[in-house]
This record gives sequence, structure tokens and C-alpha cells, in this order.
Amino acid sequence: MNLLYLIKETFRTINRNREQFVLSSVVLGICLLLLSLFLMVTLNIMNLVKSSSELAEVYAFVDEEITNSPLLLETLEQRIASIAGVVAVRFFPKEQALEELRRDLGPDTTVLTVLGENPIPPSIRIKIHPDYTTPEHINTLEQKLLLLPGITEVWSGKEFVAQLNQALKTAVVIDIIFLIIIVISVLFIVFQTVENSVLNRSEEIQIMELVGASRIAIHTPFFIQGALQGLLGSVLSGVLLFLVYRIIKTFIPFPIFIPAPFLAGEIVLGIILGLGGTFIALARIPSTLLTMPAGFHRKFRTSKLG
Amino acid sequence: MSAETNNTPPTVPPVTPIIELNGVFKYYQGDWPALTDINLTVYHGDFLFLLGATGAGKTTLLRLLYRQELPDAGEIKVLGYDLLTMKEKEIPMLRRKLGIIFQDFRLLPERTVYENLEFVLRAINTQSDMISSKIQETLNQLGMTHKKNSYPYELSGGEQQKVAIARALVKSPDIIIADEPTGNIDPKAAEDILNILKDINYQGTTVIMATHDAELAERTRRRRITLDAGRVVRDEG
Repeated sequence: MNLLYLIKETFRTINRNREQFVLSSVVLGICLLLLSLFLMVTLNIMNLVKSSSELAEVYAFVDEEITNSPLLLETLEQRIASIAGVVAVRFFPKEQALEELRRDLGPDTTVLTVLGENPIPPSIRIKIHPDYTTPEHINTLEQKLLLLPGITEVWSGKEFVAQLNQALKTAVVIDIIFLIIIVISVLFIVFQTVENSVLNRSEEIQIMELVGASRIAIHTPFFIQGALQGLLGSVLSGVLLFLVYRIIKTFIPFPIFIPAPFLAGEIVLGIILGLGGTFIALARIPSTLLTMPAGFHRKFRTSKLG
Repeated sequence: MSAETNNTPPTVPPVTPIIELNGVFKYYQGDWPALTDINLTVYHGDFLFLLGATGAGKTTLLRLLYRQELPDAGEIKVLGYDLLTMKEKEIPMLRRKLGIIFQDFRLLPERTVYENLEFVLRAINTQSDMISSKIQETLNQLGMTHKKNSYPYELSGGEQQKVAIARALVKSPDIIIADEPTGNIDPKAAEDILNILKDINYQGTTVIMATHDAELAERTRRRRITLDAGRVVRDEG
């Protein structure tokens, strides 16, 4: 069948069932939006994990006495620098640490007033190569550092990274569950729309079958309809996602948006789900069409649509 | 056998059987016999009436011919296709060679006469540049050109049936299968429809027409097969 004519027939079908088509496309878009939102959260956690790993610094707190001996301090720094995975070593005297804390706290210095004397011990801040930021490497480094004389305590922030990793795993699991639920929901939405379109066109389909139209000629307008519905839903979801992102951005300074390949993937997913729903609907219906007496479809449609 | 074997295409000899039914049985709901031991041969160029009261099996027999149903036993061959063994994908090929007409017209109400015919030609992949001329030619033949932009609800019963015939005819079928085509129209219109079908037959197309109007069939003096309770009780003419 001529492609232009098929498209014309598709729009004729959609027009006949337009309320349901529009409504179900919106619902489909909202379903995909939910999936996108979870995906965006996951991507942001992934980004956080990545940047935390990249910025990984281990704090080795040192005995105050050692700071009085530049030679001992230099030796200690050299020994730390020689440990595998250590990229840079920087001594941080307690005054500088207090200054940093004051900067972090901003105008509210009540805490510092309560504390009185500077409680922060001097430290050596150790920058780790990204390849050595795994929990195993950090543990090894911690153990090595604690064996060095003059080091009283080590803080690596690995608990924070571990928590982030846990959150990431949870987010991925939620994403997968959401993906399954949304795939089923979208398939069902498209299935329902196409099923009603088929019933709306049942008389035409009967005639097409009787005059010798091929299955492809009969089915193609429905597949175009399903694909259009998937496309419309996914584009709508992309637009809504962008609006939500703009709103979130006013509260959180640097959220990351879903990258273009993901958005393109979502559009492809929408189209595939549209085609899938159509396939299921067509596989279920047409074999019964011809065997039904004339007028059956109208009655069936009426009873079905209430 | 039909007397009308004029104007047959040279490629198909007049004696060629185009429909053969041998020992055909069809049951509904398991054991209710709709057709019993039907043996029938239709030749190219025949004009055949299927007569019988309501429930005699006329429509069932026609439905078997265009492969809308399958028999429970027996053999059916139409235009060289063995309907029992043919593949699903061959069914459209068979039906493209058949023109099917119903008592209730079955026109698409939201489409004009032209669009109803175009719909058929598009469905069977007719070349776009041929569509308009084929429709024009068919409507001319049936004297319906002036109604080409009318919707079915704007036409009388007789005119609607003419459009239904045009729809069957527009794809140049080898066989016209008409199920009670005069059942829903007045006697004058019925006479017109019958004359159109005779004209189509004169031009070489085989016509099978189911009707319960024995008088109409007798007047036409063509082959008449009478069914009663699913059995062929008479084959005359």
C-alpha cells in the first residue's frame, strides 16, 4: 500500500479514537517521566560517587609534637608519599584547619566560641590516585599509615563513599523495578488504544480482508499509530523532565540532566513499546474478526466501552 | 452448466472448471449439518444461481468459496487453489480474484463512493496512477459516475448495491460471488442489479448469486442449484 495513503489511514484511525489516543499518550508520557526522574536521580548519585572518588583525600592526623620537628615531618611526608597510590601529600597545620572550618561554617561561629581552644589536630592530607580509591585500597592505605610513627588517627571518608555506593545500588534496583512496571504499563496502555482502534475499524478490516488486502497492508496503520503514540509519549516525557529539572535546579545547585543519548534511548524505548503494544493487540484480535457476524463489532465495542 | 460462455478470455478455455467441490460437509456447533455431501463444478463464464430458503446453506457454501470458512470434510478448489491446503498468505491472492457482494452492501459509511472504491484498490496495492481511471471506468459501466462524491447514506438501496458491485468489479475479478444482492432492495432496483450482473457475466466473468427468489432465477434462465437443509436437491438450467 502507498505509504502516504497508509499515513492518511493512520490519522483517520487516530481521529476516530482521538480522545483515547491523546489521553493514553499523556499517561504514557507520565509513565516515562517517572522512569526518567529515577534515572536522573541515579545518574546524579553516580556522578556524586564518581566525583567523591576523584576528590578522594585521606586525612592522617599527626601528633602535635612531630610538627615541631621539620625533619621528622618531612621524613613522615616522604614515607607517606612512597606508599602505592599516593599522588600528593600536604601538611595542614592546626591553625589552617581551624581557618578552613571557620570558612565552612560561615558567619555562624557559635560552635567555635563554645569550643574555646582550637580542637583540630594537625594533619597530613593525602591525595589518592583514582585507581586506588576502592574500599580495599583505602583500607590497606589506612593500615599502612597507622603503622607510621607520629600518625594518631586516619580518616578517609570511606564510610561516606560506601553509603553513596549503597544508595547507588538501591537506586539501580528501583530503576530496574520501575522499568519493568513501566514497560508493562506502557504496553498495556498502547494495547488498549490499538485494540479499540481495531474494533473501531473492524468493518474496514473485514472489507480489506475480503478484497484480498495483505496482512501487512491491514496492520501497518496500527503499527504507525502505536509508534506515534510511543513517540508522542516519550517526547512529552522529555519536555516534562526538562521542566522538572529547571525547578530542581533552583533548589540544588548542580544537578545533572539526562544526557542526550539517554533521551534518544527513551524515545526509541517509547517507539519500541508502542510497536510492542500494537503487536500484542493485533496478535489477539484479528483472527476473530472475520468469523464474527456483521454488526458484532459494533455491539462488542459498545459493551466494551460501556 | 451455463449457456453463457461468450467473450471468455482466450487464455482460459470455456470448459475449464474454476470451482470444484467434492464431498463437502460442513457442521456448526459440532454436529449440526449446514452442508451435506456437496458435489459441484462451476465452469468459467457460468452464471449460477444458488437457491434455497433461509438456512438452506447458501451463505455457508459461499463463505467456503472465499475461504472465510473451511469444510469439515471434502475438497474445494477455486481458481486452481486447493482451499484446504493453501497457505494463509495465499488467501489474499485468492480473494483478489474474487468480487464479493453482500445483501447489506457493507459500504464504509464515512467514505464517499469514490473513496470506497479507492480503499479497495489501495488495499490490494494497485498503482496510484491507475486508481482514478479504474474507478472512473467502473462507475461509468454502472452509470454511477454522478454519485462518486456521495456518501452511502445519501444513496438509495439500489444505488448502494450498485456501489457494492462497483467495489467488487473495480479490481477485475474472475468470479463475482453475490450473497442475496437483491434481498434489501425494491423489485425495480433488483431487476437493475440482475441486469448488471448479467452484463458482467456476458463480459466473461463467472457469477454466483445466492437468492431465495426462485422466480427471479427462473426468469433469468441460467443454471440453478437448489439447496435444502444443506443438500443439493436440484441442479438445472
